[in-house]
Amino acid sequence: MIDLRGVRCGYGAREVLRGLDCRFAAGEFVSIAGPNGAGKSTLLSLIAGLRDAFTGECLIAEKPLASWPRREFARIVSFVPQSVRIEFPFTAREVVLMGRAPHTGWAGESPDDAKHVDDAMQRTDSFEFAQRDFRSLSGGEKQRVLLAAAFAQSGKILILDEPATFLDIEHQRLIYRLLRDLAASGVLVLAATHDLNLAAAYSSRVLLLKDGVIAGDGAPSSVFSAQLLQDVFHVPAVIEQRDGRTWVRHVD
Amino acid sequence: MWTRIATSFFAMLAAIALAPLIGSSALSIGDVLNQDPVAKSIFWEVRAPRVLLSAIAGGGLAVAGLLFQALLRDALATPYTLGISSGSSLGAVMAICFGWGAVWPFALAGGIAALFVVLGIAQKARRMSSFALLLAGVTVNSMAMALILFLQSATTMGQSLTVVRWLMGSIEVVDARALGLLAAVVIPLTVLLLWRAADWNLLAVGEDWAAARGVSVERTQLIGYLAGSVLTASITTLTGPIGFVGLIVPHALRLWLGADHRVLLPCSLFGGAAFLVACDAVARVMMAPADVPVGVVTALAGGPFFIWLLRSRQP
Repeated sequence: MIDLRGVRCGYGAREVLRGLDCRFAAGEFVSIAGPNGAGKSTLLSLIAGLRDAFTGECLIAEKPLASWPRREFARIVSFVPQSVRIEFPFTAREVVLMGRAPHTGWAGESPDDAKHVDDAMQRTDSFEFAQRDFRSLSGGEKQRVLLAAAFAQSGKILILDEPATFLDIEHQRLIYRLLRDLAASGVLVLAATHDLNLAAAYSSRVLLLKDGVIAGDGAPSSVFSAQLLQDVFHVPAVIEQRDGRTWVRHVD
Repeated sequence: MWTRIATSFFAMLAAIALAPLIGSSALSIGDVLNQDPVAKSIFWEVRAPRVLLSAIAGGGLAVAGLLFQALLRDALATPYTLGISSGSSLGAVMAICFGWGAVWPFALAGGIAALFVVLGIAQKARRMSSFALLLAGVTVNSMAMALILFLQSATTMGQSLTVVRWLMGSIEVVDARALGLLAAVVIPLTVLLLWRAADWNLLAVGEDWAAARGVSVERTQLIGYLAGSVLTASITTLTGPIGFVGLIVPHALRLWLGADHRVLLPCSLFGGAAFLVACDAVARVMMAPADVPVGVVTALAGGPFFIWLLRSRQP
């Protein structure tokens, strides 16, 4: 679905991504981890088509990124930013409805759009505040609304920048289960995260970035090792395999 | 949605129907219908064109204000605060003083130049803050005003009076042709903007937000900025700079209707029309029989409102 070859990208003189080669296939749930400034957000926004200045090749569904018409691209790729600051009194439902924009004609919202919106809000447990002003919601509630907007967009590729940051543990579990189910239904899910245990528990693959290059790539059980975590995060860690899962525990 | 649009439409109709009866000499609808020659002449030749001009100008200014607010994601952005009105005024005053004939193209050029200067100054700080925008707007405003004063002092007495009267922002009697031309600019532009209403919703949230949902951001922004400048400059050519309509009307409507531009755009057109028609009626009776420029009324109403808005918004 996604094919990156020798991708480099930066801001001015500072190069953030320094040559990435990797492929992502439909149905994968890839967690992207790494220290602050490793290039996670840059990589995700690049794949989402929001960075013009990069070199190398980025193929999305076999077509180079630049050759995609914007609207068609938005029908298959949805992007959830870490947070959104809204100046105007949009309701939560109106924000979710904006996810339908690439599917909606000039006549406005169709019954099908409404169904997608209601369904997405119910799945993300945000239906109860559908009519509230988005600005009045808590950080976690906002994040669920943004997720609902991405679900309503119903693309083949879902890109999320730290979707669990502001969520309580109940909703972290809820969202990560939803993402896992979505991947099982054939959607490619890419999510940046700082929570290695969440990544290990739910995702099928972990991509570790360090200083703009790939430091580790593969199933969580094979990627996480004490040595690698020491190299990447400079933190002594213990890796345990328990209950069929990989656990990362950092030690003092 | 439709009831709200209909409500604001009927508010505009009511204002347009009632306002011509108000003025330094009160008219009754009976006199006009009974073919009383004086009443008929005042109604059709003096008041009706004036009311129609305020309706079109008010509607267009409110739509332009709403549009700039969405594009810049800032409730304080209006043609007036951004300096576009004074840029247009400078262009128009140059055309008047140098006798260039047509005022409109120079008003338009001045407005667009002011817009790009303000955006250029504010964008230096990478992310445009409303603080930088307002400061840039203030700067361009006062520079344009200084140039206007300079031109005015260098010109003849007669032209100088024309300029002063025009600068105060007033609704004067204009001929049917000018009214028709203005309507032919404002109404199609509003329809064009309404057709793109979903894009303004997306851009009002953010540029990346809009891009990720299929909007060609730069092209759409360019269309919006040009449409807003053409609206402002065309109206300013006929009325002079009238402030605060583009601030008060969209903001009040947003409190009532929420932020969805599919509803806000038509309601701003009708609400802006009703508002300026009402302000002009007030301007006619405030110091009767003298005529107060309508810009004075909108500024007296809008200034305190602007301060309240500035103080009450979230940091």
